Amino acid sequence: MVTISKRNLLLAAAVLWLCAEPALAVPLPGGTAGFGIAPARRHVVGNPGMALTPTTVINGTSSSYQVSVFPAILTQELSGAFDFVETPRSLNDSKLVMTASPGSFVMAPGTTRPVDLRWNMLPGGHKWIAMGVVFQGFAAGQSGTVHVITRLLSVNFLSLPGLTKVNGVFTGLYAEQSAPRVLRFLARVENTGDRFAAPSAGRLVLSDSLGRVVFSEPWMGDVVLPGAQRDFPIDVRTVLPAGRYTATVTMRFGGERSRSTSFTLVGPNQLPTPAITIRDFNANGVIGSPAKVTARILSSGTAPAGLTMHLYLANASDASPGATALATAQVSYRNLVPGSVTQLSHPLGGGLHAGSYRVIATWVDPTGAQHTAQADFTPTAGHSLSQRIWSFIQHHVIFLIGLLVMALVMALAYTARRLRGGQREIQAELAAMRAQLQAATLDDHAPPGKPAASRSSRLGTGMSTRPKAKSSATTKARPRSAVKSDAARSNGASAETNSSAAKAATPAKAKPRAKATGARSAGVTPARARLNRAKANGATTNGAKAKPNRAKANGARANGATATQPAAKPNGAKATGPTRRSTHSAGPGAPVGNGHKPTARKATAVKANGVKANGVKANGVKANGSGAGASSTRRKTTGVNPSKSNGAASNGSKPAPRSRSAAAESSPAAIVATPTQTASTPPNQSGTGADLTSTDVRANRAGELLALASRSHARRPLPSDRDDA
Amino acid sequence: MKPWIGTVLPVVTATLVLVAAPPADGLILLSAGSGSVLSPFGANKTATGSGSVTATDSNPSWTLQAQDQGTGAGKLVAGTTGCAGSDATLANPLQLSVTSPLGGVTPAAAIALSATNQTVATATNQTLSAATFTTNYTQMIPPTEAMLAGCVYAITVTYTLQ
Repeated sequence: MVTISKRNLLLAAAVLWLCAEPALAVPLPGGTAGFGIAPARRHVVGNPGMALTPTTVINGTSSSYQVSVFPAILTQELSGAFDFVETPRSLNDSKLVMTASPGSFVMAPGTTRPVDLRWNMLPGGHKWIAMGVVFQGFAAGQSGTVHVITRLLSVNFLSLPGLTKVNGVFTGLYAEQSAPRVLRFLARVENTGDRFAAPSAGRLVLSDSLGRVVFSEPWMGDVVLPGAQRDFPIDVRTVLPAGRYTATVTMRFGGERSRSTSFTLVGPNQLPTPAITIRDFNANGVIGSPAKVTARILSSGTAPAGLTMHLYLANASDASPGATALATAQVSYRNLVPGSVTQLSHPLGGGLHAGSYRVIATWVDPTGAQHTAQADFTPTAGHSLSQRIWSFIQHHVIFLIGLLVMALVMALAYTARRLRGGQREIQAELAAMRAQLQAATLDDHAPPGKPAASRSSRLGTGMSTRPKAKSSATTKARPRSAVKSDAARSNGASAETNSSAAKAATPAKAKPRAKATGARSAGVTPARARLNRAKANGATTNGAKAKPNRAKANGARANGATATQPAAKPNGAKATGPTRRSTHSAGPGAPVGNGHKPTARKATAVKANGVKANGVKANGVKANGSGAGASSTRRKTTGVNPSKSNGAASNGSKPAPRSRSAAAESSPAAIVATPTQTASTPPNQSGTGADLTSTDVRANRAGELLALASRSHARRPLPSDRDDA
Repeated sequence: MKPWIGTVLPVVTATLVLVAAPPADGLILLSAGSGSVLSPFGANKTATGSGSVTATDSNPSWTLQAQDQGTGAGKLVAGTTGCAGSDATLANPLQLSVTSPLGGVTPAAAIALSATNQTVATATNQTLSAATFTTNYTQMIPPTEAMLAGCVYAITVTYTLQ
């Protein structure tokens, strides 16, 4: 048994202490520019509780640096890079193993400062640990949008003294397309020993299908943590033709190690290699809604690739390994065509609450390497209903304005339609009543041998409303829908407007209107009154030659009922002469005015649809505001051709043969306004029923009704009237 | 047992251990410029900017990584003043890529900056001696981004050299 005295142990310890800090021997390079540290790596074999050689922090810049220092427990990635978890818990654990002081300080430009390090302990059961010391510097005076923090990671391989086992193996050999015409072989090495060690004497050999070596090159190894795997990339830029090859990697790692794989080139240095690249991995969310994970998946290889990605959602404050995920999901893709880009957009979890979240994605690439990506986010506040409505309005303001305008137009149209409908109803009622009265009058007072219409026409003087409704046995109401544009239209009344009257007065020149409304004698003449234009609508009904009536009394002169100027020359039998312009006479109803002295009533008041009572031709009636559709009868005439006038046979005895008007059909005799009758009205009599030869009270009532109707029209002009104007 | 054995054995053992262990080595330096400006910076635009990082590493195997340790986790964050009504963070993370003229450097594809360290350049057999890396930043700003005038967005990128 070998006995080791205390003196010998002290001697050995002294040797260890002197030799274990070779970093002291590393001279600081002159002219260093930048923020740096030395040494960057340490291999320390010893027992915890020892102080390490201080690390020198260098500020070779022209800016002052705010420096912070903290230790961290390192892990190693496949790429060989060291990583550490930066959660408070992990950082606190790191401080138990190693301490660094001072933890933070400010460095002036061009200065150096040592940082003391002390190895305190090893985690239980461990013979080694890889400790990092992070030196973080932030230069003062940075401007712009992107600032920069520089971090330098000092790596310290700490292990206990004693016999150790060095061993490593190849766990894989993969070929991938690094770049066009550049092949990359990844030799994956695992350190199966218990010591920080690196493979040595690495080499890659490529041989073709005949066994001939076509490529051979060494590769350099680096430290692999015990138990970790690391890829050593070897690039091949020597262009090889298409064909089948065999790749072999060798190394010395506790012994000679090798691994081979075959591969096929589909072109010069072109591999059908499947590869996946994840880009723009991101996550976001709205409070109350699931998280949204987005990424671009690029099939970056030269062969179709598949991908299975696992997604995890966790609180950002508790996203350390092993923590429980709030939600998980899995997304799989198959046969992603090389070069294709697939957009990943996947919801994750349920409704989010306020706070910070982290989404972690893991996947294994075609080479079998595990990858991880993560994104932190804070869900934004969801929009309330009012906000969403306001946002909708803001984004659709033009559409909404258009909609509003359309609604307004429709509302206006509807209102106008209703107004017109109401007026027509009133007119129809009045016409019906008038027709009834006229019919009654005719029945009561028709002298033998005379057409009843002659009297009715007189009665109708003041009744210029349209007989819309069923008027009487002799006056057939014309359906409203049948209204045409012509003067006669609306009420089915005979549009025996002024034109017809004029025609009657000028037989030679009068142009018969085939459709002339006037021919529809018995109906209501929807003529429109024209103030101040009334030209003597002489009612030359009898075929008498009309003489020009200069009385252009405003309003309807001819009709006593509508004449606005008392001075208008009464159109007697002759009166209604040629009008230069035939206005829309009130047609039928009004007709009776022939020869009547115009009343002082304002023309507009008579706008009521003139009723051609019983088909009496409204010769010469300047129907003021009589019904709709009278506009078409404006015509310059010099007389009336009784024979041609529509239904307004000059002698009144002949019904209008072609009258389409129901009214005309029903009361052909009504067209008979005899000269005698028309002339019988004294000029100074009121036109409204002034020529009443009958003492029938109903006739007077009819006049009153007409007056009412006239007032009604004066208040509410029909849109169609305006149109005609 | 001979007494000298007790003296020599511990010393030899300790010496062998130290000889087998790689020595401490390395100097790493890293410095960045005075910051980068992204322009044009506004909604429905793609802002770009560039900067530089100078690195020195005596170890031929090194890794340069980037991350955002801030609250934006890779996304630009609005300032604390003058940003009422603006989005607190931009919707998209900052894109970053690094280029180097050195042949032995393997630059990674453009990354979307995040809170995780991501490798932007690496080498297995390339020492660095005041090597300059050009850093390229790209920020895509969607048209829906609420960014009021006067609101300043910023981000701090942490480069780690090991």
